[in-house]
Amino acid sequence: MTVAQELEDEDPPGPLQIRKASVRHSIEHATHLLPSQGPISVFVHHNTLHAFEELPFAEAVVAGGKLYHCEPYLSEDRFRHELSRGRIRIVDLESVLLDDLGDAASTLVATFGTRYALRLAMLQFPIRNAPDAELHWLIAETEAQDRFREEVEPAMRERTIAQTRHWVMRDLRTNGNGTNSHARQVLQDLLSEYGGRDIESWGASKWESFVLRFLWRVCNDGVREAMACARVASDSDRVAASEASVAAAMSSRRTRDLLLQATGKDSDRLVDEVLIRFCAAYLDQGFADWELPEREQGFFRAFAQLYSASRACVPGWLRRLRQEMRVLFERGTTPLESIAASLEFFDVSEQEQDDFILQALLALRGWAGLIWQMETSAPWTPWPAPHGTLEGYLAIRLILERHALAFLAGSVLSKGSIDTKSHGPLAQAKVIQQLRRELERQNLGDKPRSLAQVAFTIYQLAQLRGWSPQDLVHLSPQQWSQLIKEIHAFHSVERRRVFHLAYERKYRNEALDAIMKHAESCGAAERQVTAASVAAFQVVTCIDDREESFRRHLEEIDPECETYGAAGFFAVAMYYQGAAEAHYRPLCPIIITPQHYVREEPVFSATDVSEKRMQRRRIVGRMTHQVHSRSRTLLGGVVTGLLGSLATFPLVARILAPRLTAQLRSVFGAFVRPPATELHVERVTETPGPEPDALGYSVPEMASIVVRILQDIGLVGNLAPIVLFMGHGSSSMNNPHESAYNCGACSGGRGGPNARAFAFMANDRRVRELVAQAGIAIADDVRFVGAYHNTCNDYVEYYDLDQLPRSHRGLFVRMEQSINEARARNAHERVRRFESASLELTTGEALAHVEERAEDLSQARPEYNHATNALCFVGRRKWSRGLFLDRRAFLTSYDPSIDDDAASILGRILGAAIPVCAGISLEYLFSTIDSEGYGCGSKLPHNIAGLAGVMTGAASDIRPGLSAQMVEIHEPIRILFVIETTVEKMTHIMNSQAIIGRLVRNDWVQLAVYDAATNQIQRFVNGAFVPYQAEAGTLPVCRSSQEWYRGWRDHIGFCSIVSPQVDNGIATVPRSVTDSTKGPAKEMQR
Amino acid sequence: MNMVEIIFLILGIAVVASPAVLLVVLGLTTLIGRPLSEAVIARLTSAAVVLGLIPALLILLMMLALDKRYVPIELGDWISIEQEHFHFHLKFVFDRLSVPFTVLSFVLCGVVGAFTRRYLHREVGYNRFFLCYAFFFAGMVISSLAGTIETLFFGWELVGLSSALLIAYFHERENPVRNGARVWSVYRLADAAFLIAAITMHKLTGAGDFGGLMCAGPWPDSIANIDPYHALIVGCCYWLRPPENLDWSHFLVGYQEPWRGLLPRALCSMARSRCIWGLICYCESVHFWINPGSCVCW
Repeated sequence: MTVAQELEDEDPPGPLQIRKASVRHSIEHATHLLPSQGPISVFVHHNTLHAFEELPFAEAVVAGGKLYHCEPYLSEDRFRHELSRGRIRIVDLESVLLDDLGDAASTLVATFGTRYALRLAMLQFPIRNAPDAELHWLIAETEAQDRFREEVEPAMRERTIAQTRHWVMRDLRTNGNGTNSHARQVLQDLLSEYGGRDIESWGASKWESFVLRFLWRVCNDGVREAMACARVASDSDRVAASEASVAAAMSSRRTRDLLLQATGKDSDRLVDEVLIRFCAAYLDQGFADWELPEREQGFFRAFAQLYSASRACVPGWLRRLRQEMRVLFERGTTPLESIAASLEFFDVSEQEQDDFILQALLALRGWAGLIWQMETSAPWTPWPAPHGTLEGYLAIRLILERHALAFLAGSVLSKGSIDTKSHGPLAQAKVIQQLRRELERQNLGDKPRSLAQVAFTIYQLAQLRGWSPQDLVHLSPQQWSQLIKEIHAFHSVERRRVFHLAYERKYRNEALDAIMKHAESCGAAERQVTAASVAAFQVVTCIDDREESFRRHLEEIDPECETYGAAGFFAVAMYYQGAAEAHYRPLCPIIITPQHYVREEPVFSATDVSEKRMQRRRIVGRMTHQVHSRSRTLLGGVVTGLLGSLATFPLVARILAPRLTAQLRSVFGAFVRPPATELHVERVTETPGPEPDALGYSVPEMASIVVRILQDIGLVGNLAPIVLFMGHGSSSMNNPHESAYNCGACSGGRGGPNARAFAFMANDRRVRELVAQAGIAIADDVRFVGAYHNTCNDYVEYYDLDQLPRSHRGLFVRMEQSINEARARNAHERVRRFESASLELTTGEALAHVEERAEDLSQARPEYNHATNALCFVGRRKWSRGLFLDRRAFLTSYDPSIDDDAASILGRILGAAIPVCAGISLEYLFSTIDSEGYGCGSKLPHNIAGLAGVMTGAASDIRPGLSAQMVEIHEPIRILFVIETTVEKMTHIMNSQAIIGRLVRNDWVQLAVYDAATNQIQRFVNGAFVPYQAEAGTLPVCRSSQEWYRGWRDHIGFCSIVSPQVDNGIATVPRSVTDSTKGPAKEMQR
Repeated sequence: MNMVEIIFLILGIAVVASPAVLLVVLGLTTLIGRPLSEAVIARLTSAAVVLGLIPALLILLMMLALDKRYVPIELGDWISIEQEHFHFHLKFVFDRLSVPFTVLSFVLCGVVGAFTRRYLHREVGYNRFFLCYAFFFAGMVISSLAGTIETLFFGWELVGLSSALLIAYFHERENPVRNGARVWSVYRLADAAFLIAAITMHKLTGAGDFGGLMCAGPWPDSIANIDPYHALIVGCCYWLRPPENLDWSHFLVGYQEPWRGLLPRALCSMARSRCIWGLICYCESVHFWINPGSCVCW
């Protein structure tokens, strides 16, 4: 008895039960390959191909591309564009190719030269190809056989023509030495075509055409001979292998794919239409006006109940679904039982089961992945998915697929072959199996490359490499075979891999050179300033690449300050609820599950005011919701029609004057905004929790957090009177991916509360006593201040300033002035990337521009986020301070001099830094390489589905990844870590932390270790560290960042910034925000 | 023609010509394969809106100052078939209904232009969008001011064409194209109704001029020159014409989520308010139908 019969006949359990366990295992296996992006309100950057990290990068991108139907690298056209504009140099290609080939570089290929030379030519020049029909047209109707390709150097073209002409005139026409019958035959044909009698009076153009046609004939004949020879030699093997491979390929393809290829009819379109709507309703997080009935019963039963209702309105192809759903619902069939039955219906064997289930889940991989994330990793959301939701989803999907395929089977099967009397699932199963057999019989596998395609490739290469017909005509079939194999071996993916390595090489070497040269030229000056005395004030920011420019400008403005970088949650892992927020949300890296809850509360004296404003917020919120939902009713629609025009006025204002409108909104917002607040950080009870008394941390817990961060950044002595901890986030309008712009170390949240909480902890006297026991003495006059940096509008907000002693206010004013100037300069550096901003803006105007962008409803690029990321430095600031990094580097502070021999501090820093930064880098890389496949495409047609993800248009798969607008200026290269440590310590960390070892050894990231004492760098290459030899001679020097980047929109190279203040050792008063920076555009030497 | 009439004529032509010139410039440059840059398109669009809006406001002010309620702009017969007694008479009418709607069309099209020039920045279809936008813009202005049924039909066709093309704007995907095609076929059915109305009018009054349907006074004081039953037939035929400007805006809304669709929603509101307002007029008096400005509502 089969599973299907068992379900139909209501017999006792049999094979059904046996299969359920293996189905569950198959689903679990498939979940590893689903996108791991959670609800969009908590966007966490991660490696798109995380599931393939066990493989080396080069293999993984191919495997991932094959599974997800995505590109492994940028296109060859794009790489060649980069080659033409100098972003990739020939020297990079040569170096990478030599490294890649090793000893095989000098292998001779069919007497024409080395493998290295052949591959270099294939990289340098585009080899065009096309389907057979197009190729025939190309050869017959274009100048492909009359003129050499334009990339061929004139000297080489002349040489090929002259050599052939000489050969024809001297030997071939007169049957002289070195001719063969084949060449003479070709010549005769061509001469009869061209008219050989007046051959001596042919012009250059006629000879060029003659040579090319000769070459084409020779290539064509040579390839034909080689293929015939190969066919005869391995005919029987080939047939067997071919049949086996076709059978394997067919079995791994879905019936839907075969049907689509055969008829153009897509069963997924029918299925997805139903499933997407249902998924959006099921996962809705509070947007829908009506809640899905029976949602709490789970996906499977909610669907079954909805579609078994007698009033259910279903499309024609699902007319038999109601009955089936009713039976399933009444019998209490579980999702696993249903899946097992569907596998029987589809005639899926145990061996094929894993692949079948995987393919079914990947059909809508965005939705399947989101369901899995909501089921397993989002307990904090208002409506998490219950356990078993993905199983329910799969069960429903397979049922719908069955109905869709049975419905479309008529387009393939003859009417007589379909049993129209039986309608049950078993009858459907028979139809589908019949359909599958018929489609497999049609054998729609991929066809190999044709003779003409191979010949045309060699024909182009011959032109580019200067192979004349005389060279080629003497090749034996074996030599032709060898040549064809060589060309096939260096296929498009291989070529793109080499291009990619060359693309990375240029930037990597420039970065490493810059570090070494900067340390040589500026290291002494920097050390002199920092070692002279205690810094005036210290600023600790997130390691985020967007803070690199902020820190650099701040250091330029006030050389007496010091800056540090630490992961932006500052070791305060918590669930946080703001005073005006309804729910707690995690503020820590996604790999940490917080144990502590912190809430923002009004200060005690403002409790009454807070209560009133909270009432106002509720009223406004309720009214807004009512207007929103009621305007969609019949009566509401009439009212909206009458009064809707009034909405024009605020709308016009927001579009035409977004900044002004935002300022007005802010003024009116004061009526509902919470008054002065404080964080509930200190806990009363023993164990943490969300209850009022369980909120916060105990004093020892606070002390451990403070010790951890101060040790990590190396700030264990010489603390300045004010130490500013600055979290960051980003706010923008009309941006479903807003959380992706926030702090990655805070799970896509805003890091201000973490900085505020840390400052509260570090200012506590009891905490300081415990910290002192750990060897870090914090003087009484040292005050910590929390702050929040909005990286979109460059606004900085300070927390709890009332707690700052009067003695520190003067210093705070100085720091605030410097930070204000840094905000403006930072905005100025950022806006050069935006085409809508003039390159002639002043710093003040630039700041106004970014403030406007953040409030603009129509702005698809409020900021560029991590789009420029390429580097990560881990070490002391002294060797990177003053180095212009173009906002491309994550800067993590670490002092190796206070670390132990086991590098335990470095180990815990890298334990977070490498996976997080690699995740960001790789997500940007893959979203750039294939914006539609790995990324979410253009954000313009995006719609939020159920407040959980974005769809393209009204109904599509959930689109994980980054939008095209977010990555449009990104250079897809793997991040380069430069870590100040020794080879031994780094090796120890790689061995002790599996994640780091895997990412580094499998080439998902690039790694170099830096020794500041000797100014030496060692790169990790092919499993070992090797010394790096600097390439560049000098590093440009400028007096300020603005002097270097002004007048330039694109990425810009490295530069040493030696400010005048550092030169003479005197700190000057910061200039005002409105200082003009106008100046002529400078052409940068890149 | 006195000086006032000459000024009215110049301003009236400027109102209609500004979107038409934009359409011609964007259309011709696209046709010859030399699309303009983003910046130029944005400037041209802004200029077209401003250069059309200012004359429209001036006309409004002059009408208020001179207490004129009916300002026809006659541009003569463009097609004349004497045997059939048919004339394609190009005539625009500024009255107390058409001028506010024209001004509102300018303002909202200007806002759409301002929004879109940033929203579609670096989008490959930037030029294509603004070409469709120019169709819509010209169609709205022509429809609002149409003084004959032929002119009204011409304007509505521009709006209808832009509707279908903008719904199918993201043509890389299947759904928008399918929806665009559906809408296009529905419009053709509606066009048939529109033509029936036009033919009925011609039969009843011997011309397509809305003025011929009235025996006295501009809107709202006009009284029908045809009996109520005939007016009802004409009105119902117009009614079949769907409010197209609701549909195209949905290409940005995505049909579902309001978070991104604030701007199109305002357009919808405008169109809806016009529809409802027109319905009230319909209930009040049959002679609503004989006013060209009211017809625009449908």
